[in-house]
Amino acid sequence: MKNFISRHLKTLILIGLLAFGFAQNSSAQFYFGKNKVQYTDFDWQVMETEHFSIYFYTEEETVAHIAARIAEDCYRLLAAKFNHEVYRSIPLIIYGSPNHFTQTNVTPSLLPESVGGFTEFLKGRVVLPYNGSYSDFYHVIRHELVHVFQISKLESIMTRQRVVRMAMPPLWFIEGQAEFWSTEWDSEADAILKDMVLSGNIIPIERMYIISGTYFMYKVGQSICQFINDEYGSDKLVLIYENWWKGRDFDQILELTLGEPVKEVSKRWEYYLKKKYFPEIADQGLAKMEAKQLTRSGYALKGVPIKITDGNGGSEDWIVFKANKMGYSGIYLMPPSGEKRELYTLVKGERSSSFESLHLLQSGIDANNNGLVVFSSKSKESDVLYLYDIDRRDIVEKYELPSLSTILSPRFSPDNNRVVFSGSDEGGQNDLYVLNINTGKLEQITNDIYKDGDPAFNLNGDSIIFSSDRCLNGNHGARNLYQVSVGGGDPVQLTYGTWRDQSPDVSEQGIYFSSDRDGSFNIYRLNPDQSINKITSLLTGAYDPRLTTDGTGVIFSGYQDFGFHIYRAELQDSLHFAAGEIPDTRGQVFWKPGRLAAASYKSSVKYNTDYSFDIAQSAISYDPVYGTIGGLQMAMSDMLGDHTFYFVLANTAQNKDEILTSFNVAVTYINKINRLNWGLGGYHLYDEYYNDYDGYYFERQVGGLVYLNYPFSKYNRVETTTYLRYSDKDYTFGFTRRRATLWSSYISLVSDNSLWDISGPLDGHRYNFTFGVTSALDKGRTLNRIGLVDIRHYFRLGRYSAFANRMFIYSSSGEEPQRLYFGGSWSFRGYDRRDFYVRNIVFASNELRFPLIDNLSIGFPFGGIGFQAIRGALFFDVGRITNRRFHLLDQTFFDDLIGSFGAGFRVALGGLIVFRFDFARTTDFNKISDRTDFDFFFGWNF
Amino acid sequence: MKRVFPIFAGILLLAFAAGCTRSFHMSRFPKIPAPEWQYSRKDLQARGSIDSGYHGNLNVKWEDSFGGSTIGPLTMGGGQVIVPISREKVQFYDVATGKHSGRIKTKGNAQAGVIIIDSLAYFAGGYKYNYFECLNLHTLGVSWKVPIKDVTGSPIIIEDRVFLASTTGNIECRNRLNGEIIWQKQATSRSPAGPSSDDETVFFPLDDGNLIGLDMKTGEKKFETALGEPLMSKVAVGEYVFVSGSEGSFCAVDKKTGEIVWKRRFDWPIWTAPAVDEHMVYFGDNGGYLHALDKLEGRTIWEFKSDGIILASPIVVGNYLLFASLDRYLYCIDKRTGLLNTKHRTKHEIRFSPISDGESIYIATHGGIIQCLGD
Repeated sequence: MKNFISRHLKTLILIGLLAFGFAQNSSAQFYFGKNKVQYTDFDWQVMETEHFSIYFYTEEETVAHIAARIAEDCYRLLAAKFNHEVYRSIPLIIYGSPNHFTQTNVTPSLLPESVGGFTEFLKGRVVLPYNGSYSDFYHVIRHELVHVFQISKLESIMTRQRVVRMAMPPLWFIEGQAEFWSTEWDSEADAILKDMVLSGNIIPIERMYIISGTYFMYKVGQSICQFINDEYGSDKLVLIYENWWKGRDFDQILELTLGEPVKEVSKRWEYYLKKKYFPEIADQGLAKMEAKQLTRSGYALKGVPIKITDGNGGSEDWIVFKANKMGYSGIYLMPPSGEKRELYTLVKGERSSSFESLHLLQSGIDANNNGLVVFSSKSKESDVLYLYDIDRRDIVEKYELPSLSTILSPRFSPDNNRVVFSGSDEGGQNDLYVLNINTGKLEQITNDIYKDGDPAFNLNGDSIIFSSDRCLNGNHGARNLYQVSVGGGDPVQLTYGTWRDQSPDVSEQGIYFSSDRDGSFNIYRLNPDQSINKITSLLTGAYDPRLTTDGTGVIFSGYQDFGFHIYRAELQDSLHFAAGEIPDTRGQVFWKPGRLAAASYKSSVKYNTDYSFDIAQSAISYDPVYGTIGGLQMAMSDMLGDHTFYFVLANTAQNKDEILTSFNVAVTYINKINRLNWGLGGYHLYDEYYNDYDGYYFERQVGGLVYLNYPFSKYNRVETTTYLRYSDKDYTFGFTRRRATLWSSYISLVSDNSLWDISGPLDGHRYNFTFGVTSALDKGRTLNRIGLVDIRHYFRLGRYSAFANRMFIYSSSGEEPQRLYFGGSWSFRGYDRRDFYVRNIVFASNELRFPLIDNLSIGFPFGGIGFQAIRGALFFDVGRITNRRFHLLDQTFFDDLIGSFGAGFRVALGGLIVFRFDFARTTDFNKISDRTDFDFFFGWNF
Repeated sequence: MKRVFPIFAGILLLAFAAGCTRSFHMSRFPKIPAPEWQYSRKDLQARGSIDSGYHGNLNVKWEDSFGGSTIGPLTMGGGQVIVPISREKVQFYDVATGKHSGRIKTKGNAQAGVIIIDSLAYFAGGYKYNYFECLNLHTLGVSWKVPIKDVTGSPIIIEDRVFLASTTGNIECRNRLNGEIIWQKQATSRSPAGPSSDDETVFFPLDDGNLIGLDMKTGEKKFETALGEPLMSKVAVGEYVFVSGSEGSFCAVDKKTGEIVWKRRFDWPIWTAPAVDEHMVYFGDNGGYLHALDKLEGRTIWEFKSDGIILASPIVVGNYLLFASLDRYLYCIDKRTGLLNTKHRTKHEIRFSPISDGESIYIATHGGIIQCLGD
């Protein structure tokens, strides 16, 4: 009896990887992974300007013109800073909203909400969304263009010097410089640095890898670049590039440019920070010392104090808030005294398509005395509004608003019949909207290009107080408070200044809001007589004020010790500022986004697919059993990444007569324009193969494949692959030559909402249910059927610990069953890799994962090595692995069970590689082996 | 084996032929005096201008391409246009015919340019090699060679003295005939552009924002003036010393006292050395503007806007101002009015200043093309 899987091992390696590995828009490990869903059908256009090709879709034409002007302005500024011109048209791909942006195919990665844009290195594409804020848009475009110049400048220098080196500057420098040259040093950046300095946690330059990839890294990097600019000279940030060819590594180049070793530069920078920030503590305080901290674990913010009345006239005080406590964002409930006594989880985000993202930082929430919580969440294509009943612990209403892509910071009206929020349409325009939650009627309150956020009804419910960038300097990030009638009309300015006033909370005492008018975000109150009181005086920032239900204190989000928490400050005598003169600015236009002159761009044209190479390389792989396979690999795609071709060309001839007949050619096309991703492929393969069952044999295969993938949501999908091929198999020993036309179809249901730690999943689940059939068409019979169930659950025990359980069932029947190799570190530990080659498997794996060490740094004479994490594991595996038929209920099933148990540890290096070390002993449940098996493996936990 | 041998021999022959391009030799007699346009404009010792009857045409008279990128400033000497290029070579072209006269190989790229006087070529080895050499072009023998760490900017030679600065902030004056040190100073910082001079003083702009003036003979410091921003380009010397600041300031400094006579502030960084003629001073900035100022008062006389950064210093040839912008054009401007006379498109950008013998303009592009332009 011949078997299928062995015959197709190389085919699966080659074609399978091509078709599936590249097609999955996910962080897939093996056959799991989340999905990037193409919900929206974009009508792409291209506009050419002097230095850019701007890709946009019809709905966002206004935004595209704004982007064109910003990009050209930024180009000129950055060219002057870098002493460099970019001699190619820079592709700038604009999305009208962050939700649309997450659908981009330019990168196969799933984009976290925190990504404001990215520059892709292969084709130099800049991809970013418009979030409704002109100043944010300007910042992100300029930030990404710094990356374009960094890459282009380095390329130019290295070409000129005829030096080949692939290394780039470290990420902290790349991003720090991009921040430094794209935005002003603002109060948020200041808060991060102050916090770091005052808590004694300054990270030396040589240890910046500790915060690599985090938001802190951006701001700390920005601070270092500013320090270099101020202390060593403005030319130095350019000269680092000019000198790039001279050094082996960044440290050497920095030393060459600044004239001092990195350690010395770092010491000077630390001293510079201390001198700058230490004096400030004399006049201002820290949140943990000056206010009562209500939350402790993870991050928590956007607290809303409420008094829930019951039907009997009683009431209870609570605080509803958003938090990320275990890696997921959620909505929680705690008593006013804090979460230590009681804590209830109301909504778990990021685990289902209903709550894909709760916009933890961007959006506030609200709750009323009826026990209803209103919040927005991304749900599939766009944001939806939810009403949650605290009493029933369930969602009671969901509002889908098709005209809006994003919904942020909803607030109830005083009569609880309406909700006001800030929303963006598909073209990116951000305005205020009021939704009648009884009738579902939606009214647009403002209608202009300005960003209007953080709305709140006044006490009468007839007007809305909000924060807007329509003020003076709004195009550079300033925001002031405004008031607009619910019926519309010109907004009236309530505060006035080139700083940021935001998050108003209306009370009888006045309007509480946060503002960075004195350099740090603090809480202020705008009194009815227009005077202002400063309520808090904290160094590292106080945000999102809400008056407590008894009116004696204020709940706010405070930043300290690298995180946000919810605090309560008592209202007491505070700094009072007399009412300043606020000019009547109704109807006054302080600024408008600029556009390019008509002569400076070509009219937009419809996007035409234009392919270019992503990668072309020669590759050789060697397997001790299957031999060597080598050849040319190429991938090419269009500018938007919607269409991709993969090519493989190799020759397995063993003498010159076989050359023409031994070409291995595979071409696969993947289309990702629509929600249904599909692919087509064709291949001719000829090589010598081996498996434990058939021994050595030559096989020629000519055929094609059709691949379909339909994601139901970010977490679930169905996918099918069908192969039709002619197979000519010539065995070296034993079996007679066989020729057949084979048809194979596979269908899989995949679900994955797992949350990963550095060494593997820690929370959520992953499922894969696959069924497949292979038939010989010319023989008119089914050769085999396969069924596979792979269920993995991760039960969170702590922030870095979990109990992981895996159930794997595989069975193949028919005259040529497909056998699987099993055993080894990634499947059955304690047994050798490929110890089993079988058709029936029932297997369960249980593992306790726990932290051992975080951030271990070891110094060597040649430099330091940092291990991001070392995790421990205790495991117990059990299974029945056989070629015989069996039944789960048979006694013999249990008689033949085998198992293994042991312990191991995993070392994460640089966020990319995980080394796994396992020590295991096997058992047949009668005795335990006396040999401890040691396995070393690269890869994540199951 | 019989087949392999001729193939192997052929490859060897090709390799040998490729490696045997002609080295440059120069006739020792008669001695060639230092020409007026001895240095590249970027590194011209003083003014960056030349009187001539140049007609303002930019027709291509001859051109050639060399493998590699232009890596340093163009210079002229011994009837040759000299172009330092990547791959550690210096190319020589006959000024009149454009014929490739040969090349010399250096250890490291000669990024500071090559100066030729009396059949002797002076150049610095690139980073890592750390030397300054006097090469006899007649014999191709090294006349003298001294270790000096990464020479910055371009050295200048005044009579029998060579002035140079290194990346360590070291400033030296050496005898150009035997390489012996005449005087040596340590500056507070490095001088990225290197020296300029008038008859008595050598001026070093430093990247800590100071301009120092040293006595040419003794090296004694005459003045040190703080200008507040990194000085990345050479100064030009006319009635005053004209200094460009890399953060956008431009000022005139008294040659003897170092006092600032006037100072202007512009919107864009300035990384080009100025050119000075009898009435005006000219410089380009990173915004693409070429400015012409009254040299005594600093008033703007005219401005000309190009579409790229101006990194190569302008030169004045007769009645015309010539400058290259990174928009890949060489511009020829009427120096009195600031109006465009003509412009010449190049295939690649020009990063180093054009040079001229008064009749023709010579440019070398980043991508390895040298052109002679004129009537």
